[in-house]
Amino acid sequence: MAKEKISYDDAVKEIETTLEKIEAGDLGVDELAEKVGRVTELLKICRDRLHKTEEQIDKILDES
Amino acid sequence: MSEGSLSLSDILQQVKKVLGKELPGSYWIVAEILELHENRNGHCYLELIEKSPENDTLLARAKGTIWASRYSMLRPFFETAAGTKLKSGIKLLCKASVEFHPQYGFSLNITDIDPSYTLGDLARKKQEVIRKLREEGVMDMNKEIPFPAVPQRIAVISSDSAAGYGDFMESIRNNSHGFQFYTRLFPSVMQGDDVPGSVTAALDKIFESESEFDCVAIIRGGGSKADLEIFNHHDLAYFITQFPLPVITGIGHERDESVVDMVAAHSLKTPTAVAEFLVDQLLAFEFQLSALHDQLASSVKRIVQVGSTMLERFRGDLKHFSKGYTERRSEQLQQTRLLMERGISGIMTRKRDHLTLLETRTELVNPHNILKRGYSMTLLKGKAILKSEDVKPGDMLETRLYDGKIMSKAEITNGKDGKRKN
Repeated sequence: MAKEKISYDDAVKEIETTLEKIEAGDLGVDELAEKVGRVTELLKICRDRLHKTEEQIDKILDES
Repeated sequence: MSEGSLSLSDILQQVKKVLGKELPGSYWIVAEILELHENRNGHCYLELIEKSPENDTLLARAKGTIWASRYSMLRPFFETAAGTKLKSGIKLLCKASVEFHPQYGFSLNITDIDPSYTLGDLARKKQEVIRKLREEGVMDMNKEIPFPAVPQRIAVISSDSAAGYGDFMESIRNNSHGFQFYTRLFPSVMQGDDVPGSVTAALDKIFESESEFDCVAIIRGGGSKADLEIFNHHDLAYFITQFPLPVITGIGHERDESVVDMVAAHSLKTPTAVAEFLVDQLLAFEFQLSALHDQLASSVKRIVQVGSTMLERFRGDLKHFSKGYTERRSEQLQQTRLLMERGISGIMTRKRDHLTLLETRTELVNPHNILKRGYSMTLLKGKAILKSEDVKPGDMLETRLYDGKIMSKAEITNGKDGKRKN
């Protein structure tokens, strides 16, 4: 799946909303799998984004 | 000729006889010369007088003679020793015999003169002139005129034929320092009784163009000491004291100083010395200029040095202060940076923790993970079966496992209570 241009905060918000829905248990199995897949993907995006940000900050601070 | 009477010659012969008898030989006599003249044969004829010291009235008068044979010897001797000519106004101590001639009358035949008496008399007269000038309060007036710093325009009083004038001009023109002078000659008689009038007239002429000159030089040279006596003249000296320009004299004698020399602003021995004096004045001025120049240069140098030292100090201060300033700023920056780093690190940690939490929650809800632990899920027509009563025997069930699925047919279903329902 191509990387989405979604903001970190939007991604987190979507993850939280989706998790709440899942945790409420009113999702069908297929939908559940799809949502979990979506959340997992968003989590990966967030992780990557966080990691990249950290690297960038370290680089900037090292240079100064 | 009447009885008992004498002829003039008889009585004068008698006088001559009595005089010869009563006043024999020679006497030392003090007298003043009223008139003096020499005749062609070299004899000297004088009119001698005596005046009252109190009121100048005539007390005595007589003729005198110095015969050529004596005169030719006495005159130079006297003039050399007394420093003055034999002339009107001179007082003499002379050795004379009393002569009486019936045809020519009474006269004193002078055979010797003591010059020391005249010398003393002249010295006394000179002192008298000086005393008078002092009483008049004018003695130093010409000296008190500020002498010009650069005496370059010289009014010269001299006789154009005088050797001294030539010497003066020569020294002025060819001075070794190459200074330029402007001189103008105001001719005057420089010897004899006409000196006071002539010099005064020359001064009068200079006075008419006073602003064109810095000073006056009275130059006389090559004359005898006897000529110097006229420069003790009161009126001439007085005139010089009143003159508005400084007067320099070069009329003096090696040993003697005249009254004119005494009242002049500067008196030098010779005309050449006057020229050298003027050159020295210019040289002194040049030195003064040069000293001022040096002083200026050293002042400027000192100021520059002081300024330079100050700048150097400022530079040090600036360096010091700016270093302190930048150090403080740098510390501040360092602190800000630490704060920022700490802040960033906090934010990152919080974000990471949040993500971890979300991941954990996701893990927990992921059916894949439940299946992994050995649970399975049964679906009927694609929908999860939650209640046994929803399944009837013969229904086709799909059982999903961690790895793959099983299709099966329902035979019996039990309810919550475990009892068979069909």
